[in-house]
Amino acid sequence: MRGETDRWHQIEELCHAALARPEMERGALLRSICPDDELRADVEALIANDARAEAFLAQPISAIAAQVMLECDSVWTGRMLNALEVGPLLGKGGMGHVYKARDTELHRDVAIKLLAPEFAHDSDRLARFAREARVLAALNHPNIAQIHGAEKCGDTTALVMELVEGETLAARIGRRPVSVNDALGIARQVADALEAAHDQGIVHRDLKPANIMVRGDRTAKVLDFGLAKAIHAAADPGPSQTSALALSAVPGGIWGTAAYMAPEQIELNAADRRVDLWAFGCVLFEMLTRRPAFSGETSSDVLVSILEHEPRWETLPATTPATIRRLLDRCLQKNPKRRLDSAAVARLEIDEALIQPGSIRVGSGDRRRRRSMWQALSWVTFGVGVAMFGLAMIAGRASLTEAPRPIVAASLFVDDLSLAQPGVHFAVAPGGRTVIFSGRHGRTLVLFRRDLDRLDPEPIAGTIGGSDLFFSDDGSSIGFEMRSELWTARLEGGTPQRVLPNLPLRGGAWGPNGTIVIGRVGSGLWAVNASGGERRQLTVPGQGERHEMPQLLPRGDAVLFTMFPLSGAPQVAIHLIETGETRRLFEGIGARFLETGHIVFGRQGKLWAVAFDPETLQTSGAAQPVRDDVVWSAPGYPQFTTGGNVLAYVRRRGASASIGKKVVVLADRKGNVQVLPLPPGNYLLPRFSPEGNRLAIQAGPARELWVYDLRHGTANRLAADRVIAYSAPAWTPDGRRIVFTTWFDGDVGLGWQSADGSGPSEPLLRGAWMRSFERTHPAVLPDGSAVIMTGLAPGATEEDLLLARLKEDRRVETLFHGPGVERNPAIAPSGRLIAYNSDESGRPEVSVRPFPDVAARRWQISNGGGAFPVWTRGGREIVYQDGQGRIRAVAVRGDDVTTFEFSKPEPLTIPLNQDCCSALDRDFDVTPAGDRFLFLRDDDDGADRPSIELALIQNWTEELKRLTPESQ
Amino acid sequence: MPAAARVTELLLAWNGGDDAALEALLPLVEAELRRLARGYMARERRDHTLQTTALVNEAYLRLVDAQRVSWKDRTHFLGIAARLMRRVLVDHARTRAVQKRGGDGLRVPFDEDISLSPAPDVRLLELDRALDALAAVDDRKARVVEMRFFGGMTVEEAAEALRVSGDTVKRDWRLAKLWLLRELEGHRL
Repeated sequence: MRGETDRWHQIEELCHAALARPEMERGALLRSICPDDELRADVEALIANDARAEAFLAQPISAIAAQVMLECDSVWTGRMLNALEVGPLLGKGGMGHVYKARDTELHRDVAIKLLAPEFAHDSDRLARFAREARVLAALNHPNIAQIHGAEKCGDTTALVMELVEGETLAARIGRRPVSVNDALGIARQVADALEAAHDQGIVHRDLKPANIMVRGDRTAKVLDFGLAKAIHAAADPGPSQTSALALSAVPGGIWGTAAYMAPEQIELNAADRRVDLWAFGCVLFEMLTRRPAFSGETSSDVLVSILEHEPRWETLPATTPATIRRLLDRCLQKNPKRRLDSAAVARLEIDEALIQPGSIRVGSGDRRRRRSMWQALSWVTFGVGVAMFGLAMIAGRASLTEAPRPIVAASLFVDDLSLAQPGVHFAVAPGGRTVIFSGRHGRTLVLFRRDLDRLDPEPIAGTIGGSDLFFSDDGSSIGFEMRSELWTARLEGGTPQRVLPNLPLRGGAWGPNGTIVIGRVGSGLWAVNASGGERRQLTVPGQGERHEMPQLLPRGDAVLFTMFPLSGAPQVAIHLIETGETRRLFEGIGARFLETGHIVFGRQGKLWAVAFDPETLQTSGAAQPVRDDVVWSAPGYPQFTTGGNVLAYVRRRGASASIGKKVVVLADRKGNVQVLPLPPGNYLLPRFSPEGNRLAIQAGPARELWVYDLRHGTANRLAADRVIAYSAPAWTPDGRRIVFTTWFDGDVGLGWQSADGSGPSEPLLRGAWMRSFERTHPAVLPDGSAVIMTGLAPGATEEDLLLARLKEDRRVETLFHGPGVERNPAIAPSGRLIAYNSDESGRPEVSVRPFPDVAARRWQISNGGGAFPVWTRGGREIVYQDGQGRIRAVAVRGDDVTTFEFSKPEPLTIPLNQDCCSALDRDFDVTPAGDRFLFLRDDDDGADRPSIELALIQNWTEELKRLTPESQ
Repeated sequence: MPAAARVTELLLAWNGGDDAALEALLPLVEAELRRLARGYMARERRDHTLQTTALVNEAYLRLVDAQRVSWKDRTHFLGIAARLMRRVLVDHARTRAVQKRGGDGLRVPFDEDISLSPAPDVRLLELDRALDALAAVDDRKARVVEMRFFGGMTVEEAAEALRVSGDTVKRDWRLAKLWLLRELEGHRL
């Protein structure tokens, strides 16, 4: 042994000596220093591997672990998986191995993708995957490789797919150049596939030449549609309690292949179907030039190229039609808001290029031919370009013999649209050319105008805080609510005009002769004149009823509106102005009359239509569901409207049926999350009881008040006389009552109700000081003697903090008349300090003042924006939401002018997941002890939130006639 | 209990003479490896070309509670963890290889380059055997490979654990790889 060890040391020394020299000199060196041939041969055999040693054992152990511990069994060939006889391996991908297989029951060849067995160990992930697979299986299109379903056998899950023979587009591009015509033919099919999938709300996210199969007959089939998302959705790391955190950290996730990734995917921003349009542009570019649009030596070079560089446009073949160059330019816009967002448009553009064989002639000055399909599409939209429309029909896949399909005339992304407030906050001009919506602009709401032939919405000057908007009958003006007042504005511009003060409204209609009918919050329908002056109450709601969202019928003599009764489902109702008669028609929300003779309305998650005769005011035939992909906002309003005969609605994307509904979630400071066992619903404004063991919450659409007991898991509606809370509920310090603003006998006011639901709700104070009944944010003083709230001081134009005294002579006083809008007061447990948010600096910030001597001092607690302060930990801490929507905590000390001190705000890891920007309604709460947080989360399994898509549907009246033939 | 605290506790117990602690460590190491593997797969999907060696360091931060283990002990424990990782991975590979071929030891042909991709379980078993052979010739070099490859330890950490200089570890690492390559080549013929 001794000798062997010595020999080994000799070899070692010789090796190191040789390795210290350049490779070419090693042989000579060894020969000179090592006369022993055998020894030298050993050394030479060792150092011969030197060139490969660098890469040897360089794999990270995690990769080995992935292969050894996770990798799907790679030797499946010849085995049976249920009824599938597994054939040869076709390929390997990041998501699993793909085999050819024979379905012995259906007697067809299929491709199966075997997923790693680790899937099987997590039933949650498997269930999610199976659900995604079902959605994908519903995608049936000649240019999409069909997913047949998922098979599970023991630990193995296999996705069963259509077997596509042929070569991948990547191979095709590599083999020989693709002619411009072939490239366009393939691209057209890919665009068609994308269009069909996007229609179903399915985004590919990993479109690339390797995912496109081209058969011998030139049919293109897109593979792996939606799989990136399906796998992603199913592959959240760790147990479910951390997934909310993980997801909030990675809103979009990087799931594409580097070279075809859109900039927003790289930057981890939310990704929607526009990433597919980007990838589509990359693929088309690559087909035409045989080079990737974005490339680089390393993957980080590729990413830099995508983020910062333009593709090399000069490499496009000279014969590339101008329409295609324009299309590529539109697809490869780095800002998704500027990017083409419709595969249908891409298809039309390609069609235009394809039916112009003399594409070289483009640029000859033939203006008609040079017109882009963008313009053409808007012509189609407005029913003017009949000739162009015919062209699209012939070129498109619709044949003239088919029943006309409704055309999604336009599909806009309106990311800023407000869906958090009750009501519907977008309107379409008659004819559908212009959309106005109330959306977020920084931390406030503002009205935006988006014309369909322009890309970006523009804020309308002078409309900050605007909502509940509606068009005049001629489409030239809009009416809207702003700061609880009725305003009008002309679309051509000019300063908005205030029509009437103190008129908070929920929807309005502007008929001929300047008559405006509004649903006045808390007091029925009112008619006013657009030029001001006279106003007249049309309907007087019954106890607890609300009359909202009016629409004037064409002759201007009747108003269609929604009645939210004291009990039962919302009703579509009609009010006859002449006779003053009001009739209930049927169950539904947000009814709109169309000139085709239909009423469209929302009911139980769907949009319905029923034939309606405006003369007799009678419906005929049964109502038919017409859309089931309309989003219902959290407060319970179906998000649709009409303009002329154009239907506009917020389109639900993806498969989740519960979009818009919320679940109530508890979290601790470590980020552990627990979803309370309450059914998904339209919850708003949760508030912990003083002991932190119950919570009061509003449940829409009726805005009933419920109390949920966290210890017993029981929920009770405060049912004595059907409490309808307009404001957030505030607990009295003894935990026995809940204070809120509500409706009393035709007036609104502050009232309370026993928290166990016993007894009626009692009015405390009524008054016109409440400008916005929904945003009074009451907070009860620790001694129960008064309520601090947001309201309108006499003579003030913006909200201030008010004090409503509940003892002796009940009255309301101005507590604090600040220079900005003050909201969300919170009183410290000592009763000697108040926290609130004010926008006096230009954006909301949290401040603290002594109480009751509020003028003595102000301390600004937040910086960088802040709202919704809550005192916790016995008054030793203030928690608030910062300008980015995160929860922050500030430690505080002392409770009067001389002793109060506070720390720097520190962010907490609370996976709060809500629109943060309104500074209006606090949809979260913290226990007085500060240990548990309560908030609302969309009930969508934490799927990444796509942009809000507003679909405008053009010729759907044909569909209406087909569905509800009684009208003809 | 956080994995790091648990692992540290077991390591300390084992160091104090409790042999059962080592067995108790295996499932924890296994869980950690699974987590690593899943993390690797998740990142792998996003970008096939990015190397993810950093993951291993992450694993160690998680495996060993730095506050309760002195620096000297830390490298010692890292070395033990490396051995445990090797053992867990090799056990897995062995089980899979047996399942796949009914235990007949039939060899799957190798790819041209010595990567572990074509038949990772078999390659890992080969590597394990070769490492044992190396240990018979030069135990320290085998330990360097174990620490560097299975344990993701840095040169400095391995040097600390083995009480040799960093240069020695570097030389050992280089020569060990040459030796293993030749050994694995030999099996191929």
